Formats: sequence, structure tokens, C-alpha cells
Amino acid sequence: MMPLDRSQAPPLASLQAPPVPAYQRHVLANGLPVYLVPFGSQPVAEVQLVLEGGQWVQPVGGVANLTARMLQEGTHGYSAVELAQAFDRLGATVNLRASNHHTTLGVGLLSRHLPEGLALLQELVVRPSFPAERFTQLKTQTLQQLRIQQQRTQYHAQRGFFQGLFPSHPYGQVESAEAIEALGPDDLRQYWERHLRPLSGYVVVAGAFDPEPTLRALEAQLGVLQPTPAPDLPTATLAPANQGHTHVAVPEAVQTTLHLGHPAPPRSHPDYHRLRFLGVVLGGYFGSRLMATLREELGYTYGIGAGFTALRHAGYLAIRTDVANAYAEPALAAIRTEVERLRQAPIPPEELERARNAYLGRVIAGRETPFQIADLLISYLQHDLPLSTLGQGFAQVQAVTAKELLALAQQHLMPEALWVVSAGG
Amino acid sequence: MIPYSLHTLSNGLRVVVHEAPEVAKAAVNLVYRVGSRHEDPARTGLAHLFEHLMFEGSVHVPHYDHHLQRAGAENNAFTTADLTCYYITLPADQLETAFWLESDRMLGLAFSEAKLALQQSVVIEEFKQRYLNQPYGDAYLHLRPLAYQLHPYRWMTIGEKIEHIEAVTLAEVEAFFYSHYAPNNCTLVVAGGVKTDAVLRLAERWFGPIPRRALASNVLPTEPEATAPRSLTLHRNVPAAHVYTAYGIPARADAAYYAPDFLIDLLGHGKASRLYRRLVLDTELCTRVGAFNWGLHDPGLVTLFAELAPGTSVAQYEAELAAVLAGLDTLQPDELARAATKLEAAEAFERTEVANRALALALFDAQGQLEELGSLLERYRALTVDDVLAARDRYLAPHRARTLYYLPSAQAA
Repeated sequence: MMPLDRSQAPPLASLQAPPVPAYQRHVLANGLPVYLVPFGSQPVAEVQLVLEGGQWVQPVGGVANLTARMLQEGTHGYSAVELAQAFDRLGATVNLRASNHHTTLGVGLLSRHLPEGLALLQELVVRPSFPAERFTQLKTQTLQQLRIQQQRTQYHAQRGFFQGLFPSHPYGQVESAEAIEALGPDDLRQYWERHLRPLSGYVVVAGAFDPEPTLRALEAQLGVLQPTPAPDLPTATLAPANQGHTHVAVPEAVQTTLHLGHPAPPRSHPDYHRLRFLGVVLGGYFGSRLMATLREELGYTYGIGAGFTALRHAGYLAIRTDVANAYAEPALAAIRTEVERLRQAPIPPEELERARNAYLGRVIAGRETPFQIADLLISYLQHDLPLSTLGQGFAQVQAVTAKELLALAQQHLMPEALWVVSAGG
Repeated sequence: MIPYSLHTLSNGLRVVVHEAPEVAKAAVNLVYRVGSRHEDPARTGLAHLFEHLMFEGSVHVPHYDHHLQRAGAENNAFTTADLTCYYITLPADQLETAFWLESDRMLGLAFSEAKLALQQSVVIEEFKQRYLNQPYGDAYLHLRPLAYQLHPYRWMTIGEKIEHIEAVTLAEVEAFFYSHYAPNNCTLVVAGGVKTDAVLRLAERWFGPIPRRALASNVLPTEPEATAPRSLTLHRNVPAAHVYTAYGIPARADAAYYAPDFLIDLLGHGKASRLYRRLVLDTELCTRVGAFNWGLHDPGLVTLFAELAPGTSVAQYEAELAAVLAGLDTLQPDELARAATKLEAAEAFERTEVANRALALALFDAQGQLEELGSLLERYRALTVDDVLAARDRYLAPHRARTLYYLPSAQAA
């Protein structure tokens, strides 16, 4: 054995692309597509029913989320308590949520109870009863949480950021207490009937389960449901984003939240993976430019993050951090400098290697469990991307050069177009 | 079950290996048996500040993070009252890099005044971000000294106050390192696509030469048994009243630990739980409720939490809470079975990732209970209705309550 020399790093292997994720695709009798990801060492599984319809189609801010949450507050067959007890018996955790374009009903449970879990999922999606007294309670809870959120600098900065980035557009829509106050259970029932009951979407089941009986259970519980006609999706026009700086005063705040960024390409853009990587170089890992400068050199903040996010019809760069009130201006200047610096000079080879491997290592780590694979599939399906392109991002980031990244930075980082919202004392 | 083998090097380092050949990555955890319980009451927050300094370079390696980034690794650390855990996941064929880096920082750090000053700034911003710049953020800073009067659990791991963090000197940092960071105060866990014999060879090569160190003793006072309730009322600019009721429970290694832990689950976990049904659904006195266990090693703490609905008085809430506790008399075995099934599912979901299996092994070894890890569910399943009611009578008795009333400025106590 070689003598130990602690000043020498052990040799590194090159990072290997993970295998392309494996899945099965089936179509139920009623046309509902099903994706199965059957593997895993633990006796659990997760069903996700992903339906088209989310904040994009809601009549007013808050409806999509409230409707999703109301699905487990009572059905024609079960009260809220009976539902909760029935799920508990299966070891099930229910996760109902609305995003920009979708409403997802998730049930994670012990694999041996999958058939019963699917029966309850059916109950939630086609037989919700929207009990008035439960809706009143949910509204009280939601308004109370909103009042608490309004004391947080992070809340005001984020809200202002999206409102200014996507003015008068569904992506910039925010909840307001007045609008929620005015809602009744019928508003939610109508939203459900119009956007969720059509069952326009797909099912993903991941975990340790036997595909054959699971498919039969899916057929029995979801395949028998008759879809109803789905509405045409409305279109929305993107207005120019705000630029400049606005400040929200939050009394008594000892820190200021900074939330800034600008528009960027949608998910369908051919440079999606390379841009994501550029965002990681800027602010997406511990060694990023922003962390190295604002935390490790200047000590302004506990943490700062940045990245490109791509949606169906648009995208954005977002940078966020919390700093002492007195550091807000110098922190903003330092952030601008870092954004500009990526446009001025190519990323040095040593840094590029570190950032690239940190990014690729994260991709590799993200392919361990069936639930990670399911979420990856969903991220492709949500954007109508062909599953045949799954896994291609790895090779693109592996191959991208400093010169290409410089060109991307010059095209997609726009310091003069930054929209800055600060909230604090 | 998490299959593992345990080995001890001659310098006292405990090495736990869990082979999971189906996984392409490896998880490496180093858990040091040092936390905020080891701090001087005038230097609270030092253990956590020290954790930050562990990333600022060691004797032979100036940039710890750079090498992990190059290896495609993810890493971080956390500090609790009882331990400090450093963890890495990386492709299994890069394993030796983790051994190199972790053994070098166990050997010694490249301390400097400048690095200390910088991390003091960072930690002070962390203190503000988590505890001062959030509504109710400082609640636990006040709850702990209400619950503990003697034991160092009376301060939170972040520190009692910012002034303590500012006052730390380089000499204190060095002394802390040499009296707590040592192979004989550490467990190394390696899990994933690895072979036990290869792991042991690496452990011997990189950690074997590090000498044992003399550890600081940690003889701590025992809290006196509660005789009367205690409370503290804070009035702050918040929109809703929060009430936190804390009760002492047995030490983690005590066989009596499981019943009150399970009771807390029955009371506060999920929409079918007792607190949620009575306080949120039926009486609408609260908008949120919960119950949790702080997970401390020495005689510990559980907390019931409630956010009062607009118009609810503290007295109304407390009367109803007492009714919930009394109402447990109707507890049925079916309710216990449901809670145990939830625990089974939660454990299985958590163990889906090899990094979480490594963490469980590390935490249980640090609390001296490695061999208990495989039989936790059986412990809970063995509990009867009588066990749970006895735990209620013993531990959640009114004279043992330590209550923090965190009220809007205008609300009466």
C-alpha cells in the first residue's frame, strides 16, 4: 500500500450517466394513461393522479388550491373524519396541491394497501361534497395563515416579485384576503366540475408493488370512470415585466429579503438544461458565485440561492436572500456584480469542473428511488415533452463549454432588466 | 430492518457499514457525540458555530467543499443539543475522497481569526433569519428555559443570544475541538453500493492513525421533578395567539420513553388525531394544532401546540385541551393500531433513500441504541391502551405543564 500523503487528493473517477429511467406505460379502458415505476427496497408506494387545471384556469387567486384541499374535507360517501381514519388505516399520507397548470392528488401508502388506497382516491376525485361548514373552517384557517404570512418579509418579497414579473398574467396571480373572503363552496364545486372532474390527465404509480394486480385495481377504480368533456384552455398574453426596484416596508423586521430576477425562456427551449446549469453556477450550489461572495467572503447572509425556472409558457431567473437591513444595498450591488461577471468572462476551467460535477452528481443522486423517477416523469409529462428525451440533459451539461456558457450568459442574463423587490425594515 | 455490521478501530472510532448493492451511491455520516449540551452557559451556540468552522479548511486541505463538488458529492451538517452530524452522499466509486476529507478535519483544522469572524457573521444572520425575523420565531428561545432550569437543554442549539456567539474567541474554538472532536467520540457510518471489507480498509488507512484524545467530561445536573405548573406570557405584534405546552418525558434510552412518545402521536399527528378533531373540527377553537417530541437524549420534552382561532380565549382553549386529555379514557385498540400503521409507513418511506438509512444508523449509535433500531415498530405495537393512559397520567399531568402564551399585543392572558 502507498504511504499516506494527506496533502494529495485521492484519484477521482469520471461521473457516469445514470441509466435512462425505466417505466411502463398503459392506457386504462377509459383512455386514462398510466405510468408504472415498480421498484424499491421498502414496502411502500405512491399514486399521483395529475389533472390538467391549476392556477392557470382558476377564476380568482386561491380557488385552485382551496379546491384541491377541499377534496378531503368530505365526499358523498365519507365525512372528513371518516376519510382521515380510512387513510390512516392504510398508512397513507394524502397530498393535494395545485400548481400553475395542474392539480395533483397524491397518496403515499403501504404497498399492501394499494387497492384500498385507489378506491379512496376515486372517492376524492369524483364524489367530493364540498360541505359548507368545512369550507367555512378552511376559509378561516386560510385567512389566519395569510395574516401570519403578511408579517414575513419573504412573503412580501415573493409576492411582489411574481406580480411584477408577470403583470396581469396567471403566473403573476396572487391570493388576496378579500377574494378568499368572497368565495363560497359553490365556487369550488364549479371549479371542480369544470376542471378536475373531466379527468384530463394521467396516473403515475411508483414504489415496491406488483404491476399486474395494481393495473387491475387501477382499471377497477379509475378506468371505469367516464371522463366528462374538458374545457378549452384559455390563452394569456405575456406583458412586459417590471424593471427597477420596489421596496415593501415591514415594520420591526430585523432583516431584508431580496427577491430579484427577470424573464427567461420556457421549458420547451432547446437550451433548457444548459441554462439550468448556468443558474447553478450563479447561485445553485454551495460553491456558487453568489454563495462564495455574499456568504463566504462578505458574511452578509446565511444563504443565497439563484436559478432559472422554466414553465409551460414562460420562465424566469430568480435570486433570493435574507440579509441584515444595513446590508441590503451592498448585497444588491454585489449580486449585480456577480450577474454581470458571468457575462464578461468565461468560467475558469477549475470552477467549471466543480460546478459541472456538483450538478451531474445531483442528477445521479436524484435517480435513486422510485419516487424520484416518478417526479422526473411527471416533470416531462407536465410540459408535453417526449419521454424519449428523458436523461438527455446529463450529456448536454457534460458537454457544454465555457464559451457556450458565456454566450448563454450574454443572451439570458440581463442585469439591466432586473426586477428587484426588497421587503424589510 | 437495516442490515449493518459494527467495527471499532483501536483509536476508538466506531465504524458502521450498511451494504445496499442496488444503489449506485454511497452515504457517509460522521456523528460526533458533542452538541449544545457541552457548552459553557456563557458561550451558548458554540457547538453550532463550530460546525460552520468545520467547512473552512483543515490542516492539509484548504478547500473542503471544492473537492466534494469535484467528486459529484452533496454534503451538509447539523447540530443538535446532543450531537453534531456531518453527512455526504457521492457516487460510490468516489468514496475515498470522503475519507480523505473527513479524516483530515478530524485530525485538525486550519483555524484563523478571520475565518472565525466571518462565520460569526454568517451564524448571526442565521440566528436572525430563523428566530428573529419570523412571526413566533423566538417562541422556542423562551420555551426551553421555561422547561429546563438546570440542564443545558435550557438553551436552544443556535444559542441563547447573539451576544454569546459574538463573544467566542479562537482559543475557545480550539479548546472545544480538542476536547470533543476525536475518533473516540465519533461514529462513522458508510452505506450504499460499498463492500464492508473495502470500507474497513479505507477506515483503517485514513482514520486509524489519528490518536485518541482526552474528552471533556459532561456530567450534567438532573432537573428536579416538577411540583407546580410554570408559564410565561409574551405579548407581541402577531395576528393570532399561539400556546405551547411542554411536558418532561423519560430519557431516550429509558424503556418508559415509548409510551409518552406514542401518546403524542395519537394526540397530534394528522386529521384523525384527537387534538385536530376536537379543537379544529368540532369546536373550531383552533386553526392549527400539533404535538411533537424534541428527540432529546437525556430526560426530554414533548410539546402540544395550538394556534387559536379569532375570538378564542386562552381559558376556552385550556378547558378544551383538558377535555381532550380526559377524553382519552375512551381510547380503543383500533386507534392505537392506526397510529402504529402510520409509523410503519413513515419509517418505510424514510428508509427508501440510503442516505436516510445511514442517518438512522448514525443517530441511533450516537444515542447508544444501535441495536434497538430494528425493533422500533415492535416497541410501539406492543403498547396497550393502559400503557398510553398511564403515560398520560404520569407525564401530561397538569402540575407538570410548562406553558408559553405567545399572544397578540391586545389579547388578555
